[in-house]
Amino acid sequence: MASQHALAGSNGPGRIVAVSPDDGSAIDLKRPMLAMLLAWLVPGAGHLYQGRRFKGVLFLVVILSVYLTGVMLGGGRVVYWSWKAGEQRWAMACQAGIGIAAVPAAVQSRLLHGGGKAAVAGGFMAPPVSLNQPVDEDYARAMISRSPELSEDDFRRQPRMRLWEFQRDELSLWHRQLGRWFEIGTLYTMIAGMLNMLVIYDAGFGPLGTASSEERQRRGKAGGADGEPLKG
Amino acid sequence: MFGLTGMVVPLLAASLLDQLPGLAFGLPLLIAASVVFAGTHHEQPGSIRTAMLQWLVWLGVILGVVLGIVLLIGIWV
Repeated sequence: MASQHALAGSNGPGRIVAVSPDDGSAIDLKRPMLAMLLAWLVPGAGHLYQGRRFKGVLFLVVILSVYLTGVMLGGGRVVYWSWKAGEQRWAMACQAGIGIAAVPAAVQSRLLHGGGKAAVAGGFMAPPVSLNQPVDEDYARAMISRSPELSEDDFRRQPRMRLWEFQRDELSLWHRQLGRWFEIGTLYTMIAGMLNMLVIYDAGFGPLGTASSEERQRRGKAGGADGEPLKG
Repeated sequence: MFGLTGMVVPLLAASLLDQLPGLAFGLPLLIAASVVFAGTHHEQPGSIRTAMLQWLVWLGVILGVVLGIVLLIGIWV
């Protein structure tokens, strides 16, 4: 597991460092909590802040590629937030690990289920509208324009309130349109979020790996057990 | 023994071929997981590259064995 030390070094007292499992050198974690927050917001950003450029770029490219591939495979419909009874989207618990790229889902859910009854940006990352759910008239028209299977007949109008009640289940519609791509896209985005949770840990506490037996022997000969002086 | 092997192997191969789309979409996830696992266990670029290959083999073998067992169960049960 990762080991952390507070080191009084050239950068001032109280510097938080981790030990590299590869060569025993010190890794300056700077402000670990800030690094973890940055790593959550954008994969790899925490490492870039700490000056660990190779890992930062590696995580940024790999995790965002997996996430965006999932979003594309799922037709932009697989990342959404819904905690309504019977319609909970548990995948979001994993997808939320990706950070700022999943935040629009929370905003859209809030907008659609709030007083406005409408999502913005053409419903991107908005939760599906369920049976008998009232939506704003403009949003209902936006739903019709983006889905050829929908028409005004699929809504029951409430003219006095400018609300239209949806008479179908949009999630079923998405499943029929996307087929297995909905599941594959969901899987990709979930795994991207979970992998970023490991990256967040690495930004806050250092590498998970332990020193190899050769490295431990080398350090032991150099003068100490596990508590040998850190190179930094 | 040969008769049983001769019966199981084609069925296993057919089951595996049936899984090809799933395998094709699983491979990028396997590679991504290997990269992140290696990256979170090491610090030096050289060590990360070596560890990535090790993780890839480990995950490939483990998941391959699991897939094989599932396919075999699917044939017999």
